[in-house]
Amino acid sequence: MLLTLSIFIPVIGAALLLLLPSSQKSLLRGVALATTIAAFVPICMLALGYGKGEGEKAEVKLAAVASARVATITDVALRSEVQQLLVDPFKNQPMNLTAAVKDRLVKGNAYKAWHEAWELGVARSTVIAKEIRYVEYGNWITAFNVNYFLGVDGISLPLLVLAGLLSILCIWYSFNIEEGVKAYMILFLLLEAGLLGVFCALDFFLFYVFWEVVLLPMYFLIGFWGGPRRLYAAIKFFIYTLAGSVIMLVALLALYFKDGYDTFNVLTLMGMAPTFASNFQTWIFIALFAGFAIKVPIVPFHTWLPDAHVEAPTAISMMLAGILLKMGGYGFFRFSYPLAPDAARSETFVKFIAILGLINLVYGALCAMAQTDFKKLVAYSSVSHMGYVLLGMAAMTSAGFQGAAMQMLNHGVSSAMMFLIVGIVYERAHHRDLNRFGGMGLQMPYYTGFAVIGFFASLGLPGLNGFISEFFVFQGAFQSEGFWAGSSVVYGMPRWIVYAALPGIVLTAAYILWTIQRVFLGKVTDHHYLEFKDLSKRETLILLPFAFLCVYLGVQPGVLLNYMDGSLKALQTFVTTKG
Amino acid sequence: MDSQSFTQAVAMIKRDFGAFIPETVLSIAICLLLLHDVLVKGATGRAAAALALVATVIAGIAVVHDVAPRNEELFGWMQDGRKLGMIRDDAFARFFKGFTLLGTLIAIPMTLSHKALQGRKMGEWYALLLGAALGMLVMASATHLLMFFMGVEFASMASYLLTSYIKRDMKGSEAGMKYAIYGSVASAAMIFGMSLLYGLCGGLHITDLAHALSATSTSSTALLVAGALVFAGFAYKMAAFPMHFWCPDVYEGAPTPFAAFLSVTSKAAGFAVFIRFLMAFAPGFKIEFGGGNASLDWRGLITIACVASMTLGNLGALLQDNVKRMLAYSSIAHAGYLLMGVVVLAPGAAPEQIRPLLFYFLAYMFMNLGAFYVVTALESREGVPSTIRSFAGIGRRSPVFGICMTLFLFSLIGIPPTAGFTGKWMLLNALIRQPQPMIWLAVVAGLNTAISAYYYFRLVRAMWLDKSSDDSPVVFARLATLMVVALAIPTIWMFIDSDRVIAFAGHFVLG
Repeated sequence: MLLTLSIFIPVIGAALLLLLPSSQKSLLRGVALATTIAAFVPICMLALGYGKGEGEKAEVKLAAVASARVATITDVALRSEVQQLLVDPFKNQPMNLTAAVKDRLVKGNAYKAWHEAWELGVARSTVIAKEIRYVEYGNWITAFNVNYFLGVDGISLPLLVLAGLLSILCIWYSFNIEEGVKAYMILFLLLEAGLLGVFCALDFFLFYVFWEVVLLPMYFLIGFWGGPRRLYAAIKFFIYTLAGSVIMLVALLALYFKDGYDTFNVLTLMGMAPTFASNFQTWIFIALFAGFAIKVPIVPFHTWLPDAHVEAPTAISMMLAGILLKMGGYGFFRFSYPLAPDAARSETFVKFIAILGLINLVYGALCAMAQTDFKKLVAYSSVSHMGYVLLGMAAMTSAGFQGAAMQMLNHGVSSAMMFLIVGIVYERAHHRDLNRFGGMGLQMPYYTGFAVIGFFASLGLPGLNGFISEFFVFQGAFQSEGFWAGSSVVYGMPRWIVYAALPGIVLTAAYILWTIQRVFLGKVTDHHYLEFKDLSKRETLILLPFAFLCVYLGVQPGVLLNYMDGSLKALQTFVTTKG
Repeated sequence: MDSQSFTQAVAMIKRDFGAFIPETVLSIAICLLLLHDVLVKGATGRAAAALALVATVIAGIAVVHDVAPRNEELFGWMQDGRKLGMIRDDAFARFFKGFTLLGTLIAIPMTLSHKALQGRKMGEWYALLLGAALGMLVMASATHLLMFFMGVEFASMASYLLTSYIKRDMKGSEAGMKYAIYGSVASAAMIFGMSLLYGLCGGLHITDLAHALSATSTSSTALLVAGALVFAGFAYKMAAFPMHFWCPDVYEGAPTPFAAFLSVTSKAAGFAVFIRFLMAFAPGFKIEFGGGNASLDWRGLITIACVASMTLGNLGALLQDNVKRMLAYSSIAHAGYLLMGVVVLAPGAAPEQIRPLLFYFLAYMFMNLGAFYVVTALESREGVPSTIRSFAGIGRRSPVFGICMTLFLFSLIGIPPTAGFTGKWMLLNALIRQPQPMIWLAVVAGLNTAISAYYYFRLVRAMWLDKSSDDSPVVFARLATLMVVALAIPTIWMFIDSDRVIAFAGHFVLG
């Protein structure tokens, strides 16, 4: 119930806003903020409960649903036959059913019940399913076996919390939007609903729906409230992502029709995944890659990102960098790796992902260094930082996975904070030219204090959150070759990639320090800057949680690791063991 | 005729009449409407609209009043121990009758919202509209080639007149003329094909055809020609390749409410009659030609029409500035999508096979009529034909219309959360679920969807993102607002509660 609540509270809030008069700007803003806070309450309850081991487990819930389905078969003989079949769901899968048995089931009107019980039987047997809790399961479109199946584990829950928290802060920061407040707030809330849905959908069809739902409000938010080139940026973002998701849809269909599974249940498909032919896995991996790589974004599919991030209004850039990019990384963890495990751990794809990660890291950093537009610099730093995620994933070691998962979160915090910092100075200076700034440290000391925390977190300074995840990524990547040396199934990432990636850290430090120097140090370069006020109360209050998280996650990464560890271990075990 | 068989015949007519009430109601209403114009002085068109509305509703109730379809032919004769007739009452026919009447029901308020059609005696208009609907009801249930032709002609004749209804409108007259010429050619081709079929099969009832062509292949060139000619007639009604050329001109010139009516109900009736014709043939029926070196089965022909319709439709729409022309090309593209639902049909058309098509038709009715309604309202307000530019800023100036139109357009593209998404999904699903999956066709349809996103988004962009010269709020008539919202609700609801609608669509099999 908590997941449904958190997804639909923003929808209800949006509907409520629709009824309010558009002239009442402060009322609209207040309702929108209250809605995001209300949606955050169930998320917090989830997070606290998950930490204490609460929440209905996937295993238990799915078993209950399965037995309820079997109980609907009225014919006693048929029911016991179905129960017999369900004892070994991997052996008695749809394609192995003899024609006679299938005929009996169909005639006795028991096929559907058996099929659903079968898929749930497979679903709850995977290692990954053991970590999933707060499960909600109900039928949606029975004709195509689409179910309303939600649940969270250690990988999705932190992202859910981040999405909920960022929504509150971004809505609050969006109080500076004056034009079309009503539409903005409605679209923002729909965006939030889509994002929350993406991170907890466990039915592939449902996931796809949420994935598309995220796309649409974003198009309008960039296209209407964005900068001068907003129309170009909006349609580019839209078409890139749509193209990616259409290819993803092909993978989705291929899985659905595979061997008569007729299911979108991600856990069921994971359960069957080890039996997929390696050729099929390769294609699935590539098709899913297309959808997720564009979102991450992986070079060379990244060109929409600088445009979209730069043109979007500040709060939307924060959402884009903070959460939307994580949909890609999350997609790899939740779908690509478990659904094509043989492909994921093969030499081709380990190298492929690792080298792309390397390119992202170094190329993104180099691009960032070349920028004179403050916001574009931050946008390219996102490209660079997502390289760490790829590197960590490719390593396939537990440290690598932990690093990648934490990096998604840490980058979500620090990049959103950096976009906010850019937005605050842009609001005062009305330009973003790095070469024209200078001396902000004197003029706006509090602002500079926060900015330095954000930038250093992004740089990877020990004691702040970025350091932890980057360290884990490099540790995991470095170990990889030796760790998997004896293994015949998992290909260890070669060390040279790690060595080649190391200069990326130096480049990151270079562009960040150079930026700090250009913007905050030195003398005030323009007399206009002398009129700049330091942070307002609202800005300070919005920056505080970010700064807190940067420091807290930097000194107490264990809090996060405790949540993630079980799920990441399960994922690693699943992906690296031959089925 | 002796007295006993006479009594039997009367009894049969009495019994069968129950299933013929909708057509009868419409016929009576047509007469009354014609009288209305003669007898009532200074009419505003409201009374005629009310009369047409009541007649449509009664006809609609008559379609559903006895729940179980009879699954037999009406007013028929006995032949080889089977009752044959000209029209048939089955669930499939019921669906398309109900569909046509619902479309008519929406076209009536749309007429009231159309400025150019105000302040006239509208009895004639509604009489013609109901006449076209009557023709489509006949098409939905015809089982005899002559009746096919009758239905098609009846609907077409009324359509020609409705297209050029506004006499002094040059575009309308031109469109009417084009439509009539094009239609006559198509009808001539169709009836020539039918005459060939009569010669080849010795009968015009579809069971005669089925009987004569029960072998799975034949090498008759005459049959190939006949088939192609008859298909031309159907394609003209469906607005599908290769008989789609009339569409943009006619839609552009016709009064918008009628263009809307045409795009949905006429297309549906075309599909209904086409499917009934098609299902008479043996599965895998094909015609061999060129000395047996090549063969053409029905599926191949439909697949070509399907791919060509959606591709040409979408490419044609890309550069249109006139919104009605754009929607006309979009309607050609949608004929292509809908033909995917025909490709998967096998004789008998089991519920799983027919429901994607019927679901998509329902979705198409709401989203397309919705889009046309917005165009009607805007056009009536501005007094000029709607171009993409005239939509600039509508989203901000009239949020209700903006939101609803955006929904309709999303649905036409096939993006969730709309009925169009579920519908397209079902069509693709059916293509792949076949014994021989047609993945390539699904991919072509997917690419077409991506192309279509471009031109539908031109409108979305105009409505929300483009600057307009004047930013004052636009207030549309209450009726138009009400109807647009009423059409937007099912567009979303069919996505959310699709399960129920899919199950509903699965009931309407050929009986």
